[in-house]
Amino acid sequence: MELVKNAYDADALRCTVKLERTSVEGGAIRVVDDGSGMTEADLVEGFLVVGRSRKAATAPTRRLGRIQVGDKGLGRLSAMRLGRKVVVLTRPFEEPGIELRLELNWDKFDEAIAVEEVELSLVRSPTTKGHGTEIHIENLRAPFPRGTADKLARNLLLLSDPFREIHADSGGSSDPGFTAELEANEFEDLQSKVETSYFRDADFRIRGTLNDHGEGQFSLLDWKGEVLYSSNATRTYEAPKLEFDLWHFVLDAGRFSNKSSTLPEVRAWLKHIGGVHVYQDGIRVPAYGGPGNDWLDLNLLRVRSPELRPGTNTSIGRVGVSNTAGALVQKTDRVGYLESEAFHELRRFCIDTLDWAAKVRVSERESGRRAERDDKSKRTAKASASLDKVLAKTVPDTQRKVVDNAIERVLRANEQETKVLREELQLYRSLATAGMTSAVFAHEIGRPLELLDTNLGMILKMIPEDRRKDADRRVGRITRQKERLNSFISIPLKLLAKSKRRRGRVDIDPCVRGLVDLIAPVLGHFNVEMEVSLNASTSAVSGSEALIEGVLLNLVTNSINAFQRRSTDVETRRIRISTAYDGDVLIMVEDNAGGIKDFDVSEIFLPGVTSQPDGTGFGLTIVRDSVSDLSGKIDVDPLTEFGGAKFTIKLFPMRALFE
Amino acid sequence: MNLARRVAVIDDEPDGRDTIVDQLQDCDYDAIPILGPFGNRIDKLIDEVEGLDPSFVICDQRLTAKQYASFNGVEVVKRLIELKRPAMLLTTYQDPDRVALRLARSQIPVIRGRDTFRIEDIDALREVVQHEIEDTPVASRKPHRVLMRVEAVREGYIDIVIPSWNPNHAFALPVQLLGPAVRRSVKAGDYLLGEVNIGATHEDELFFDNVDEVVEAAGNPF
Repeated sequence: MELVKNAYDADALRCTVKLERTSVEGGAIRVVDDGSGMTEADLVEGFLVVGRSRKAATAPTRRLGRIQVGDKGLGRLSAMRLGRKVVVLTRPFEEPGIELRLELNWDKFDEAIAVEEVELSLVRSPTTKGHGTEIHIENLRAPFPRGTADKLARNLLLLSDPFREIHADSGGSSDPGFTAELEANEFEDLQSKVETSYFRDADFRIRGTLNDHGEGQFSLLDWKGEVLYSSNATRTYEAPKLEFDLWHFVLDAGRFSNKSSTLPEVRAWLKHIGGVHVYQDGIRVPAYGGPGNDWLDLNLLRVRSPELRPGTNTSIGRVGVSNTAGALVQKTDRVGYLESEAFHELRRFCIDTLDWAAKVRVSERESGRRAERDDKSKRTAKASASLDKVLAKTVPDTQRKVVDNAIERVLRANEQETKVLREELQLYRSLATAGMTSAVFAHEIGRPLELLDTNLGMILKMIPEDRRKDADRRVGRITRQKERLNSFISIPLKLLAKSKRRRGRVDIDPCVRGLVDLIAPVLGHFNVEMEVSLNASTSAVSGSEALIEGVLLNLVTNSINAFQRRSTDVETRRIRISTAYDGDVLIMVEDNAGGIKDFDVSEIFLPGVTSQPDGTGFGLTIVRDSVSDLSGKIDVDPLTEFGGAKFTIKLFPMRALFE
Repeated sequence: MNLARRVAVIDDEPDGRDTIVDQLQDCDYDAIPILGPFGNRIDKLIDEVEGLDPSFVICDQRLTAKQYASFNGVEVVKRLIELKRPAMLLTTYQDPDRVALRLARSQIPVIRGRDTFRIEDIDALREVVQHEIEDTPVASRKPHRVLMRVEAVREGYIDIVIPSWNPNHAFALPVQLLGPAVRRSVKAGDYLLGEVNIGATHEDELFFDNVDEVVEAAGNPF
């Protein structure tokens, strides 16, 4: 890095660092620039003398007037000592066509007792190459580890203000700029990282500028660089003229779908070089923005509003400061500025810029939400205005009041319906949960029942012959109860079969037959005789088996409950299910449980209406809703000759669609 | 056969009925199942039981499922106790039954859930019933006039706490158990006066009689 800084100080426009076979011992590093080169005097009196760097730190460079950044020779020396041999080729600007070659063989120095013993040979030769300096560090003493190469790449990239391209407008300076490059076949991926930049993919750019008088201006720009918001600082800052730019990336996959880069690319890039870097007159001041250096407390502030605030991993920034007046003083170890008042003010200004931007974005988000709300009520208002207009045209004034009232009633009914639907949805959700839970339990009960059987058989074998009869009788009871459980628990499992919920053609007669078979054990338990008379032949309806089964099951359950009423006393409990086709598909369910007595027929479908103290009153509500889902109708006869209530369901046949 | 050990068993479920009969016979009781069906003729059932002159009757609460009867066990036991016939009620103690049973609790000395019922307890249970029939109830069945705090008034029920029984336990009381005047005016925060067997250990054993006085919430010293 020191050699690259030297190139900058030599007014180079371009400096290339080549790494050759550096991952093993004996490789080479070549630093090539197109700077002013060195005359013989420069070499002997400056370059080779430690601690007497020819640069007088504050004097601008000869040709481009750059503020010098290189150090006093120590860094340079240690860099050149990386290899066993160093060759310096330099072509001074002042002497075109001349190349000076200096070769340093460190092994000779190491062998010598005093440095003066080693003779340095300076060779002059003609050349056609332009001015500049090449330093070849050869026969490296140690391999260049990956981490070091990584760091070098990062530093090279950052050293020479990678933000410059975007700052083309900030010109005015005679300095055409400085570019440092890394050429390393072994580290091609690094190279690409150094060369690529993703500023165009930033979501926002936050900008703060401070002029010579300490007057600041904040602005928020979009990704195209257009100013969205701008505002003047409310106070002045005792800091040198500066420009603060921060590109904020919202690292969200959704936002990257229409960008040229991918989220992982940008994430890696930001991880590598993210942070707010400081450039003094175009050259980086470490360690601001380096790994772990969050000198503006971005991450701390971000905690407060992660969505709207940039962090070190989601942004990259630069502070370009001109230090011609020397207000900012770099520390002697050249890592950062002394914490002077000027520096504090610089930092304060940057933080104020970020605060301002965060406020702007919060209020922007709020106004977005408000706009959305306004938009909705505007749409309603618009619809109502257009209705008014139509009415004004078509309805005579004398009738207007009547129409308005009618519309008002429709709206109110709509609201009411929405409310009812919402309540029903809650009801069905809770019932669905109960249904699914019972199916899960049913599934789990199978295994225990099977174990009961096996173990009972084993116990029976242990019983002596003379007690066998008694034991068989008792075990018989267990077996019967087990079978009852078995048949009962299979019902929810079968009802909830996925295939039954599929919408499509449902053949009525097989569907009814299937359900009757399924609930036969339940009917047996309650001593109910089921009569089935299926005459719908091949009629089918459009719907789902589950809906039709649900209707039938609820009606049958209803009948079973009716049989157990205090007032019901019949010789034989009977339920009759029949189907027919008379243009519509008809399903009839009737019983002989005495009919509907306690309620008006119009009430029975309402939720919560029940004659059972422990009933839910939802059964018939579900029946009504299911029939309506099947686009059918349901009628009730409270008492028929059969001896009880009769429900008749009319469904639209599927066949009719094709006739 | 020893009449003192004759036990009648009323249950609509044959397997359930036979199980208890077998259990009793294993303990040397003379167990007699009462076979139905009776439809809605409760008198016929009572007559049949009385005709056997058993020392104890065990009756299941649910009798309707298999067409055994169209009435419930609670009615049967009430009638038998009125006739001074020792009887107990057996239930599966499902929640909906619990509050309904509380209504009849003062007239039914012993109610047992199937899960806690043990044949070995029969003599002790019969003893409890016998005391009650002779109007010398055991401590857990003796009514005391106590204060009850009304926590909430709901449809058909009020939630109460009986501090002298358990100050930390609230439970539902059917409004039918309240005197007509109380039923009309009761509100949360009120205290009620009534007779409760506060010697009972479990909520299900509590009965309520003559809940006929309201101590107004306002100015209440408690």
